[in-house]
Amino acid sequence: MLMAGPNGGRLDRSDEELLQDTVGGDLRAFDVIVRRYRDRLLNFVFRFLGDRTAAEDVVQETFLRVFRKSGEYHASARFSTWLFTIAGNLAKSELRRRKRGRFTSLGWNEEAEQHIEIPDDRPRPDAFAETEIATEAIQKAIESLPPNHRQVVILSDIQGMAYEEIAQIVGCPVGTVKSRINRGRLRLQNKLERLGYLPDSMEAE
Amino acid sequence: MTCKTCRKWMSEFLDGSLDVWRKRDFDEHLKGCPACRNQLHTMQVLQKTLAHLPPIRPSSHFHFALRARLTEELGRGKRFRSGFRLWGLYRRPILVAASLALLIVSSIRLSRHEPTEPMRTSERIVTHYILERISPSDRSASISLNSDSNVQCATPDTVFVPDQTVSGRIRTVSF
Ligand SMILES: [Zn+2]
Repeated sequence: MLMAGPNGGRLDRSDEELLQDTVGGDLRAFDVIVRRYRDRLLNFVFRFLGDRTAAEDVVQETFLRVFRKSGEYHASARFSTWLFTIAGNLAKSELRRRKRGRFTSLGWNEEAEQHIEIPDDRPRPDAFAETEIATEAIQKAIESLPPNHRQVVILSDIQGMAYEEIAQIVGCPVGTVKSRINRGRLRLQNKLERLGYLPDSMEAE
Repeated sequence: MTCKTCRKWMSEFLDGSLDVWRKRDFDEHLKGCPACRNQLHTMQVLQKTLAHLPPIRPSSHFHFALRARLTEELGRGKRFRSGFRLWGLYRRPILVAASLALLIVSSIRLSRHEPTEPMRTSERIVTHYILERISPSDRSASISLNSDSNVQCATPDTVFVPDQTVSGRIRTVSF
């Protein structure tokens, strides 16, 4: 692609360089960072919270904090690790806030909420109905995991991250991450098997 | 290796991070244990299922809302962090002014909304006069709402706000 247009040249720059550019006054460089990570962060937080609106809010707050602290970033950790750490912490706070029931006092109605969610652009032929039900069941099962297990399973199996990177994001030893992933998967597996969304592992071969 | 141990190492086996010795024990156990083989197979299916969950796309308001927050942050930066030339970072200070102007306009309009007034389907916030001064590429509205609001961006320069949201649920509407 030619480097014309408002982002000419910026797309080739590393995250760290873009952040430096932001500190140096190039706001469009920050825009490139946002576009680079927006979807991954959104999917991570959405799978964790199970709520699109809240997930967008958390992701925006993440970018805002990164922007605010862009001058303080030191390349001791990878930029993406830093970003996911912030998003993960914010998502956990959001979860705690919800558990304390602040949202229910506002008359939050999750079921009604789902119907006014922003529609996505994918075609929705009837043939997808089964898959959508399954997707919803899987999401509910993910949400039923304890937050620490949920976070690492999402990072590993949905975001495709390596153990070491996950360990940095969650601030735990790799061994802890490994065992959380395993326990998280086994729990998830159990749940989805019982609901019939996974092959029954107890069946004889 | 017992079934319990086998399950303990299952993820690492799948992810290919077991050391050779443990892997050899694992393989051996699998050969003689259909239950663990099944469990492993189910975990593989689970992994594949999770990896292929349909991705969530950001809503059309995402960038608008983010921009509003950054704009606000830039404004704050000028007032409180004069050492850090945040304001200067923003190449289009007109946007900052425009957002503030619209915030004021919308809050006036919202506060004028009498509770006794007959219900209308939506509150229309016209923003042409602000938009005229912003280049088309920057005419993305910033809308950050509480989740139960239902604001629609009808055209690039008009926002419809349903009446129930007029009661102060709007956090930011800016362009
Ligand atoms: Zn076994």
